[in-house]
Amino acid sequence: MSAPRPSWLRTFAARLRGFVRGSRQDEGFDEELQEHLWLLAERFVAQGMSPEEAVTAARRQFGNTTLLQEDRRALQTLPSIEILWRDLRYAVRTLSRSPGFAAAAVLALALGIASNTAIFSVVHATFLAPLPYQDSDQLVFVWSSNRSGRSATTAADFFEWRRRSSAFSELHVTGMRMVNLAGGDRPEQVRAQFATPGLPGMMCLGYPPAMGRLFLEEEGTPGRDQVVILSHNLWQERFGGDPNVLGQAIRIDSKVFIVVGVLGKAPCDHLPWRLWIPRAFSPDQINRDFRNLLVMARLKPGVSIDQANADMKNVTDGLAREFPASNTGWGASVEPLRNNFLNANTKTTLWMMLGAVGFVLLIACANVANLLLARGTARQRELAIRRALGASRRAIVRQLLTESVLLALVGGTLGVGLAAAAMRVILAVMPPFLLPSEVDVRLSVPVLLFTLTACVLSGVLFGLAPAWQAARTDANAILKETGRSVGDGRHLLRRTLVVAEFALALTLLTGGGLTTQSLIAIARTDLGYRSEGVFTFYLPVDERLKEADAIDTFYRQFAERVSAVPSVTSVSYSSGMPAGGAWNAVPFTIAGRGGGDRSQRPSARFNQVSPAYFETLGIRIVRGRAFTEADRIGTVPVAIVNETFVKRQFPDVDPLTQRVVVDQFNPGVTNLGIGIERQIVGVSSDIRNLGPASEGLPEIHVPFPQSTWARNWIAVRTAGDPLSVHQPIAAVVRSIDPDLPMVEVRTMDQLVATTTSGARFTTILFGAFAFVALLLAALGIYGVMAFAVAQRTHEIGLRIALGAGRGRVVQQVLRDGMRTAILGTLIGSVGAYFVARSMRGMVPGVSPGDPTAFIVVVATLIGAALVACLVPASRAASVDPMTALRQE
Amino acid sequence: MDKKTSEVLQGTLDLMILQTLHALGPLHGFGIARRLEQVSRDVLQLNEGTVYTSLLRLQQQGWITAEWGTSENNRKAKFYSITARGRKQLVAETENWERISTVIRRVLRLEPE
Repeated sequence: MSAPRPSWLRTFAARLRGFVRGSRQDEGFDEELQEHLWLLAERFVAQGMSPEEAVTAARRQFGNTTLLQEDRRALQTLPSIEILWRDLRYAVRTLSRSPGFAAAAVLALALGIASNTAIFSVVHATFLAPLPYQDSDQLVFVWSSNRSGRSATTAADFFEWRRRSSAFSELHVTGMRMVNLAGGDRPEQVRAQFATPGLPGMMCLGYPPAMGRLFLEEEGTPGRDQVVILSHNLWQERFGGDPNVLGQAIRIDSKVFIVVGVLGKAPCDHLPWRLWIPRAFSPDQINRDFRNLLVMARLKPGVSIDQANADMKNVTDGLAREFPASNTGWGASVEPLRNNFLNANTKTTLWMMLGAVGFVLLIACANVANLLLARGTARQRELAIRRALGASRRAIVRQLLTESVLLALVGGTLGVGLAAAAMRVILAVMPPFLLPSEVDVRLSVPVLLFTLTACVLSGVLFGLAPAWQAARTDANAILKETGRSVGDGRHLLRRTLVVAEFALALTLLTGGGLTTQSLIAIARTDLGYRSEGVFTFYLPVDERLKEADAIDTFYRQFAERVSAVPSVTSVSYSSGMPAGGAWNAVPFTIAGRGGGDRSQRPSARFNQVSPAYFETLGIRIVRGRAFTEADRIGTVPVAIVNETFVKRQFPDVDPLTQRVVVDQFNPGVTNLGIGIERQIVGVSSDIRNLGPASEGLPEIHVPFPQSTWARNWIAVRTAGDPLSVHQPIAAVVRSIDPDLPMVEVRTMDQLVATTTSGARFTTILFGAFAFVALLLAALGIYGVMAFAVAQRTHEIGLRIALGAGRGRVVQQVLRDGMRTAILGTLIGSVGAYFVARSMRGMVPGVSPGDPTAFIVVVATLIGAALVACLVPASRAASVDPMTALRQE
Repeated sequence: MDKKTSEVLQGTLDLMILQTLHALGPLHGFGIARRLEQVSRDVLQLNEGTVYTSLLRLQQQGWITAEWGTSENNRKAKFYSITARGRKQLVAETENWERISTVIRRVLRLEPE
């Protein structure tokens, strides 16, 4: 039987139509009924009745028209929407009648929602949003790897990978560095990408250049590589969008490059570099000595990362067999582009932030639930009357939930506005490069959906308690009551909420306390050098000087001229510097120990330093001596190692009797020379940039003349304000060569500050959230106590009238409030313990068992509770017994 | 009329209206009520208003359609007519009804053994 069943879909559609048309239908229906009645009456008249009789008879035969209209409405509208609409209107009316309550609730929620939205935006942009490249899941990094982890790769290996692998459609070397862009009204330091020619095409796939072309493959050979592509933003800012920029010659690091293309306004314009320059390899650069190349690749369509890893394993196994001296133990690791440089700490920090703001929202919910409960007490009679008039429990619960969800949505809307402001602050205090550069933090649709969900969930969450209360109350009991309210259970519930608030706040404050303590510990750490009063900059000369002698002479004479600047007390130059970014690293052996496998040698940071280096930076020599002018080419090769080096290599030998063998570095040549035995003449103190817990790295220092280097840091110790020497020193640089770039001009203190910026960022955010939590918790306990006192005004008045001292009244209110606070604190200690445990790795400088932060936090919380209770307590004490008793 | 009887009647009323419209073509509510009165020979005493609830339900299911027109005495009236879907439904429901009534008749005739 294929009878068309009554389908719910048709019914729904018909109802929806009816709902939309509304009262217009009423009239049509009414008209129809009236007509029917009329016809009936006419018929009765025709049968001989009087008109009056006919009308009555017609009505009798027809039945109740009002009931029919109701039937019709029930049939033709959507009951749930109708009811929701009614509930909403009612909610708006009730809330606007108590604006103070509504404002407090909305504000608490706005704070909670704002912090959640802001942090979720960051988390979403970092972990969840797709990267802004076409087929971004095909983009990967390919690292060399051995037992100790991943590493950059060598040029010779890179070209073999290209030849032998089959998983990638293209593989490219990438490398970013600062270059000096000369010309125009002033030279400028910009980041440049030195990459094999295909990289711009791979990264900007799908976005054709605005002008000109990308690189040709042959521009990756020496001699053809003097071409440059401008990013869209650089073209706009520095070249004013000049349409004739193509073919222009621009000077970059004193060399001339021809502009061949300008990129379109594409996502790859967000990348941190603003110039693309092809990377050409001369034959001597293609060797297996230097692991300094970063490789990016695009997977062939349909190839997974696992397949690519398997493919690369074949390739590297083959290479290890063919080049055992350099490649034994080296494999490769193919990793997705997303967050490849995001360290584990940042990831944990972000997720913990999300957890922290979740707590803030929970506390806000508890606060609002409390407010609602308090108001519920005042509304008991209203609700009881509604119950008595026939409203079902469900209807009342529904009504109350509607109110709370409405509150949440209003709070949420305000919260999104606050979040937009908060995000601006967060991004301003966020250290650069904490997040990958392509991460675009903003309020997006998924973020807003998240917020909406958070709003509705929190609305239901904080609406449940009061709704449950309201549904439970016995209407009769309340209506019989005269004026004072009942509600011991209600009070218990409110206290429970405050206890929960305190527990949550304590947990959150502990997080904030720990990060603050860590920051203080870092600030107090003996860094191993003295940063105050030191002016620093980077002065590469590799573009103009090639010969070791010339380089040595240049830096020596430059240092002499800078020493002549007033208030300068000492000047040094070195290839590496504390807080000065990446250092060179070299493999080494200890003379007299078995040679072993050359590819498995340990490595250490390698620093070529001028004699004044240790003095200028205030690095202590703990044993032996510093370098002198006498340590030159031709004299005994010497080295100074640091304490960590000694600890690892010479646990029970006098290091000053030992020699260390390091391959010679030659400026301008990228392969290593022969090994040189160096007598250890001194031990320097360790440098700690990341707080007292951070482990030092092994370091080898050698005298600059014995191993010259063309890209060096200059450190200038001054007697006064370090920045005051900037202009005179810049004048010295200009007098030597106006195109000579003075890069990253800072004071040492500024450099040190950037190394702790991550910790500061975490602290500021955690601190802010903890503060909001503290505020909300304090407000919560204040609300409960104030309400309790207000409810007991009568009783308190009576007691005062009967002779109770005001001091006793205060004491009692305080004891009451503090009991709640202390219980919450006790419960919160458990949460705090877990937070402290999970944050152990994130807070350098704080030992796991250190109770300082916890004690401070508990004291703060209890203090806040005390203040919050004092106000209601003093109000209780000032109750005028006569007024209170007359209140009835 | 208590609630249970009226529920049974609702279903049968729908069926009777469908059949009426099928047999007589477009009619207004008053006409349908008259026809039912006539056919049931006054056995069926119903509030004529319930016809309209029935008509609404049938309309919602798409079994009948309505159109404003002019009645015999030149007044505005709504005329209902059965749709193709309604005819199908009528056939199905009639079969159904007959089967059930056969069964019931048989059961009621059972004598105690």
